[in-house]
Amino acid sequence: MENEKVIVGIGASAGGLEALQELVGKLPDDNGMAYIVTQHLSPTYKSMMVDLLAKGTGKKVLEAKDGVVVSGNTIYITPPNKNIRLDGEIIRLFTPSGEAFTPKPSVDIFFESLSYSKKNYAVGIILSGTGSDGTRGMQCIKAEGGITMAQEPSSAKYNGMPLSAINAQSVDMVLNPTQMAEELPEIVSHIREGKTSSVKTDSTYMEKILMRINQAKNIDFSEYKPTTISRRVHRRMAALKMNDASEYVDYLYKNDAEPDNLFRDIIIGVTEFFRDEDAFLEFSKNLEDIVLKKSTGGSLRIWDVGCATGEETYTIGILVLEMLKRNNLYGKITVQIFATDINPDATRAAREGIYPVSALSSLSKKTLQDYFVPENEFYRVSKELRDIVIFSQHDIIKDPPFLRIDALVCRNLLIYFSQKLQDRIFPLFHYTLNNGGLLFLGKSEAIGHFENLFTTLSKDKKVYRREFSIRKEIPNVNFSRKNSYDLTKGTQKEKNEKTLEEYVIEGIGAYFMPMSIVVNEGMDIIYVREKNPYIGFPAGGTTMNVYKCLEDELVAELRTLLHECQKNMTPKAGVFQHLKKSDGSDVSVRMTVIPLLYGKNISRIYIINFQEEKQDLFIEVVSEEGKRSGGVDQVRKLESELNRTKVHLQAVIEELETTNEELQALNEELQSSNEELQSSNEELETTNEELQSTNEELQTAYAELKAVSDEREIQRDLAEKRLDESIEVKTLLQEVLDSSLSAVMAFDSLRDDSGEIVDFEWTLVNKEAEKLLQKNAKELIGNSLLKEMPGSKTAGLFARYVGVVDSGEAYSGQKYYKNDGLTLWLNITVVKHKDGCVVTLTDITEQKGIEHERMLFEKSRRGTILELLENLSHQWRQPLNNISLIAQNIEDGYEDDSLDGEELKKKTETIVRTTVELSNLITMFSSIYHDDVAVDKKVSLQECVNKAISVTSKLFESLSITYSISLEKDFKVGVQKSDLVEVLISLFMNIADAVAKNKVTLPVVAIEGYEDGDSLYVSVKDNCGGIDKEMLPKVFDPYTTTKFKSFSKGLGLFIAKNIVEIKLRGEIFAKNNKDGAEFIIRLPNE
Amino acid sequence: MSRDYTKLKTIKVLYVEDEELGREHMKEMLQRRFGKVFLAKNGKEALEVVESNKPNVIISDYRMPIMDGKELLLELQKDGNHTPMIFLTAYPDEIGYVSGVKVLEKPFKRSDLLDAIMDVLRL
Repeated sequence: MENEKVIVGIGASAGGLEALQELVGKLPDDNGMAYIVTQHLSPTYKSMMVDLLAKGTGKKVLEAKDGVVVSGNTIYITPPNKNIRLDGEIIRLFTPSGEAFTPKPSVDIFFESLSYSKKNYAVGIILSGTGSDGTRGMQCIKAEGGITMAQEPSSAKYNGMPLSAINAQSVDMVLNPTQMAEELPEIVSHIREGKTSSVKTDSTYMEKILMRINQAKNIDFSEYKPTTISRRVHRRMAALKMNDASEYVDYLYKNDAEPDNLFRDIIIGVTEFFRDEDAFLEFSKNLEDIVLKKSTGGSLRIWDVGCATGEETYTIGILVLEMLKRNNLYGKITVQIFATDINPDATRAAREGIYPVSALSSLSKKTLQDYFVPENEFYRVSKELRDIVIFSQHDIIKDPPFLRIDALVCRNLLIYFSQKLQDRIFPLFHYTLNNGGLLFLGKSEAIGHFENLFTTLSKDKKVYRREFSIRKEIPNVNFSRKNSYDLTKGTQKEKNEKTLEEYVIEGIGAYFMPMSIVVNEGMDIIYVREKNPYIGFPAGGTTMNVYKCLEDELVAELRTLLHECQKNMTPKAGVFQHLKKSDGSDVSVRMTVIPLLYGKNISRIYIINFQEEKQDLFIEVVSEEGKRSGGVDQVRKLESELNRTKVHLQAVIEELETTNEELQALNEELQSSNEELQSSNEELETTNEELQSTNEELQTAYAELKAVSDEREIQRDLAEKRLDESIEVKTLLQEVLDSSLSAVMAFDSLRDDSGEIVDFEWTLVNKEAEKLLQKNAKELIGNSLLKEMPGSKTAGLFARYVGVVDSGEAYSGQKYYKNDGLTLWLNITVVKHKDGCVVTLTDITEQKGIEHERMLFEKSRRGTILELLENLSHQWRQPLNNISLIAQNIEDGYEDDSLDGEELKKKTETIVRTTVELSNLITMFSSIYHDDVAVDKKVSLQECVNKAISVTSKLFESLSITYSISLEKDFKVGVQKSDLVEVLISLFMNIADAVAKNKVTLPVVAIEGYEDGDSLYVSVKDNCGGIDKEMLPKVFDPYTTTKFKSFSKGLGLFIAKNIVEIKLRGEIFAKNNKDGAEFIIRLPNE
Repeated sequence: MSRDYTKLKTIKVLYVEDEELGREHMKEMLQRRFGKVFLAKNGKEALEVVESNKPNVIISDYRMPIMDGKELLLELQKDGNHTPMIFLTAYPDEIGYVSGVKVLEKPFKRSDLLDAIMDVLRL
């Protein structure tokens, strides 16, 4: 067809626009080609493709519309969020179903429809893009005879899609977009000219081509339909741009890769899930009948011939599994699906069982969920489904068949076979199937003239049932052996003869032999005419053997008759025998045997006629005879009886002989069975050889494994021994570790992807470590450091460990650890060990604590002195301010002349008084620390209280605090004055804080002194609401402050306690009274 | 450069101070320059004076019994009164930064106080 339109499908994704523009810009002038572009697009984004592409070409660029007939020299763009299919030359758009992750529009779906619609007038092009969409579509196009091209991966912005197609062997040409545009017109002319076949006309080329393939691939295609082969050859020639068959043959012989390419082209096959769903359902329905007859524990064997990439096989698998589940037989019947294909690539792919979403579009959501597992952008066949299928490479033409098959599926394979080959294949199918087994063919295939082997169950769905044949025919298929015997011819003639036979029987039988049967040489009944009361099936196993089926009384005579016939090949009639029919009436019956020869093989058949006469008629004849002859009658009767006895004797003798011969026949039958077994045996041998080689491989692998395992064994023994030793050592080690007074822990590093240490894992802790961390070894070992002791990070320990592991330098230092519920001073040693570290912790809290408190004490003491100085400076500021004010007022007065002598005198007097006040203040402050050089000198309590009051008086004044002092007497205290004054100042300042905080309206401080035995007590009470309950026990702790805005810096009471306890050898307590706090100092009374 | 303090003659000033001597000498200094001088012993008294006499500017000691300078400021702000304020204190480190309020340390220079008042009154 010179003017058949060539349609070019172009699939592209990411980076495709650029390549498309390049390709479109260079497209050839009008040559009747049409282009359909499926570019993956965002479903929501409004595409500018049409405008963008129209700019660079003179061709019409249109958005594809549903129902439009494709016209030449036009570029159609598939709109976003639509899928496109080609129905003949009509564009069909439809909204894609749910799967969000499949790219739209789907290139696979479009290419598939393109391939079916246009066959070898289709061209598929894959341009830049990621993923694998289009690969399957390209396979379809190639399988249907079209030409496929992929963008040269290095020229593509994204090479995923082209590479995927190339790797799947589905690409004829790998080109950049410009080259593609240049190639297109040439290819088109090849496609068109290719129809006038030059290969087909010259059979020598064909022979050479087939020879080359046979030589290179060891596969004989000579019995395939020549048209199939020549179509593929032409496709290859078009792809190689060759016109001359001789040129191609030449190329085929010189190029090592080409036989492989051609081979792949010939055997390429793409199947679909549920292709012709109706046919599959019909098949499944019939299969169900077979399955239901099976008993529990039985097995269902199905053979899928030409399984291609497995879609068909898995479809059958799904149907079978569903059927078993439906009938509650799941798991009760073993299912084996043998799936074979000549193409090793196909079976490999099928075994993998991975399919793109586009291949599964015909499956229901439920099926997809039940039998497939999503894997990236693909789906993998579930284990359940995969497990029932066995894939293998197998050539139906030469490899031995599988046996005892319940159903054989062979779809769209026979169409490639020549009639001659088909005639060999059907008997093979018959042979391989169980009786009643199903044969399921493709849409355009049929059983032809093998109606005697198969019964049609559904003519249009192509489902057939194997018929029981009289003799199980061993198909003369030469498994791997050359055999010149042609079975098909014989079969054909046999069939024709049989028809003639029937004519004869019909013609004669209608008049003379109303009740006849036909038996073959094997004495099996092969034909029964009319209902025959003498033939019946015995109980037990079914048989067609005429002796078994015949009334017992007639068997002996039939043997005699048949025997005679066999010997002489002449018809033989028996005598009338009296029988009682089942309804009780008497009959006489006579058998006549007529031998017939037919066919080249000289097969014999025997017609056995039953002549039936009414008993009374027969008696009548005899009695009339008797009446006529009188006494002679008696003699005659006896003679006749004697004769009959003689004959019977003869019959008995012959019967013996017959029995002999029967044994002979039985022997022959056995022999034929033996042959059958032989054939099976040979087949088994072939399989065995394969198994042998597999076995050898396994043996080698086993030997290797064994060697490794032996070595392991030795190593394990050694390791065990070592383990025992090491356990001992370990126990010892643990004991040593546990005896340590330091906590010892070992860690392994935990690293992230970049190798950074993110955490440590405990690998060892000793007893002391458990004690120190207050955790059980079981909680720690194998756990993460940061989980169990998150404080390590805050305290900087984690960073230390990391530093040690990274640098290899050990660390040693002290650390105050107040985290994770622990408050400890630790001496820490960290040493790197393998990829981790060993940490030794020693609790030095006790030593540190003493040191720490002393430090704090000194620090706070300095603090209090500073505080006092600060206080002093404040107390100085007000008087200084007054002096400053007076001085400035004097200046003012002088300037405005209002300053008289009296006024001046008054002002200077105030200044002098104020300076004296300031001077006293200084003296007093310095006296706190200065006047107790003599330690032994006793100081007056009164004096100390006064001093403390005077220091804080300004503070008290500013807060309107009044005070009262009541001492039983002027106690003398054997202490340094400054110490006691300092304690009192601390207490006063604490009260000032409380007053300021609590806004006490009339704050009063009461200071009392009294003796009790050998103790002297000084009590300081306030009315400021007391100390918070939870604060009370901690009131003397460092940095615990009872105030909000502290006049002292939080160390006041801590220092007071320390002075009392250490220097004054006394005690200090705090308690709450009714309206305030009370501090009591107990001193030794001397 | 000394500024023109004569403008202060139209200004009513309130001085808040708990110490009597200081109050007295400050009063003398202020009376020479301001139109009207009011005195108060603490924040509480000051609030009353502000209520009845509406001074243009308040000079206040910071630490005082009953109601201190800061509390006075907060009370005034609560009432929506934004009379400019200047703190005088012997404890400058206790005040820190108070928005919109000038702080002067005792003892201070007369001119510093007057300049500060001119500033807050934008004279």
